Amino acid sequence: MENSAVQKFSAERLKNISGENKGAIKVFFAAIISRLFLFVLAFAGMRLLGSARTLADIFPTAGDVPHYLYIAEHWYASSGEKANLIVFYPFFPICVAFFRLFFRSYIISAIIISYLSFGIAAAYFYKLLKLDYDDEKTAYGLAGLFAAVFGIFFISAHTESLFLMLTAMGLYYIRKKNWLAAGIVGFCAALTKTQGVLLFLPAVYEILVDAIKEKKFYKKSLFTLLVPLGFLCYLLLNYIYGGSFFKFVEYQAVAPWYNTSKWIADGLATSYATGISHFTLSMFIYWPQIIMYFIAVAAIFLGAKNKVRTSYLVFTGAYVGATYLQSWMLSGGRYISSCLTLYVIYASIENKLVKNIILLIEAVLCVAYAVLWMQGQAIM
Amino acid sequence: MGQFIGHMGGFFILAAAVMIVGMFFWESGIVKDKGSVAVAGKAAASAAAMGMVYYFFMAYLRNIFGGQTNFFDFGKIFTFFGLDKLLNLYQTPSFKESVSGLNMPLFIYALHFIGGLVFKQYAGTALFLNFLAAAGGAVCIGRIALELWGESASSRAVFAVLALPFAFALFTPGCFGIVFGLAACAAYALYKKKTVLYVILTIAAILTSKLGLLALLFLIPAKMSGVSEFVRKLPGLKAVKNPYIRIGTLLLVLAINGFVIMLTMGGAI
Repeated sequence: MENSAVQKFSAERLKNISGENKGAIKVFFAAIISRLFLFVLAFAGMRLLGSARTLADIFPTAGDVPHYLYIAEHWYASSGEKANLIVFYPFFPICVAFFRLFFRSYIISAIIISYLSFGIAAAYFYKLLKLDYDDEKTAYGLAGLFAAVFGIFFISAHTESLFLMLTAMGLYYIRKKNWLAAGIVGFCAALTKTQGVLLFLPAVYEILVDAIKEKKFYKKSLFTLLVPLGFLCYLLLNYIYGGSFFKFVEYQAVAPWYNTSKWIADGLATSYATGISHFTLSMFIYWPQIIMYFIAVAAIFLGAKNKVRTSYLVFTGAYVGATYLQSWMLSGGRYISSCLTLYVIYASIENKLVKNIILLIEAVLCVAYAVLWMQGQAIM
Repeated sequence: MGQFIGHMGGFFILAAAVMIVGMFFWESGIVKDKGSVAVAGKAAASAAAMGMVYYFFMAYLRNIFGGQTNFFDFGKIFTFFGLDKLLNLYQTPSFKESVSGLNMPLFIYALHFIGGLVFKQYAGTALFLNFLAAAGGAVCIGRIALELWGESASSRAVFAVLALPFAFALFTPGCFGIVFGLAACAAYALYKKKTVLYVILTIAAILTSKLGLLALLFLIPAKMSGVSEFVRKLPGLKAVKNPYIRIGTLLLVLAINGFVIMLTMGGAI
């Protein structure tokens, strides 16, 4: 009798697990289709608005893409005009160089990485949401991600998709207390973007809360130290190629970036002042990044009210805060769009009308900015 | 407008950070009693709200008395009580000046270090830390009053302290808020019979400002039962049935405070 109960429980559990994986696979394909749909819509929109740009004009030349492709092809340089490319983190170019072995083109490899990463990110995000929410909220969370305002960057040769995937995987493994996997994923995230190292904070939060509550410390949780180790490896690269652990800071402070670390208030004030004097640019860069900052911070309070897991709020707060510690920021909107935990907070909203309105605004802006990006406007 | 947006942005993210730290204490079980958490939250929120009112009133008055300036130009707003000199000291500390007047070196050097870490935002950091310390002090006073006289007396005690004339000084980038916070924590430690903690906090308060010596006053044995009975019998504003008297009293307290702030900002004090 007891054995049959155990068998029944195991069978049910197996069924649930395979159901969850089936769901994740469906989400993976849905995510890729959503990106293809956005691509077609944006390209058609661009053509209908009279632009004659071709794909070869659009993808390899956008923003920082040439720099990533250069690093993938030639790696970092210790001298010369390309020495300043050390400001870009290495994991994305490494992936591009690896995929290039199969696809024979750097730009195509980079775009394939973006599509695949977005699919995997969505699948892990689905699994993450399913840990706390019902089907409907999970679906809304995914829809929020698919309609991300600057979602066009999830199909371009930027780091956003890869980073999104690593964040989703990292948070999922942290929740599952699979510390080794969380450490490895976090290590890669810390080598992908500045914000990657911040995955350490939700891990530390979960570990500390458990340690204090249960008065136990799990040695395996020390694997999470791999996350800051990833950042240390990046600093080491700076030392090897630039002679200083913080060479990237020096390069960022001069042309063409002119960007230094400043308190949030200064960065926002500069954005506002520049936005006022540059009307067109303000629509693409400054207003979105100011508005999205306040929405993101308000979301932290909303998340606390809606009982979103606190470790997610820790990540959101650290991500938003660290992102805006810049004197002259141009990509705030893009960065906020890649903050995965904001979509968890969105999913937690109870009022469906509010959720639908937010989704509608997001989707309209997503397509609009995608078309503008294809046109070659200053969407960075 | 840009400065306003920027500083609001900075303030809100710091407020979110403080909230998350609070949630950590709650979730990890370090703080367990829901009722006392609510009282502490109320006291901290009251302090923050009063502080914001004082701050904007001071910034507004500076525009009247000192010519047009933006609401976050700390150097121009805080020119009273020697705060302008203190703001300079945070940037370039000198030991000789850090022990002159009411000053003591601990907070000055600590702020020089912390302000340097947060992108040389010395005045802003000092202001925020004073807000935080004043809120912490309000929580301690609320806790003592709660345990001595009950919940309604706790709110009254917090409000009474925050509405005292010159209470606005707690919300300036000097070290009044810090000393207040440390002294209130010392009082709470003494009340809880944690003598070592009381000694440490009192020393910290004295090393922050000579006003910290006031924390030694807590050692004078108070006739707590007599005080307790007196405070318990004091009617709260809510107990006054006539709304005119109730609102009038509140207005009177705030008007006196506003008058003191005006005299200070106008240079009469």
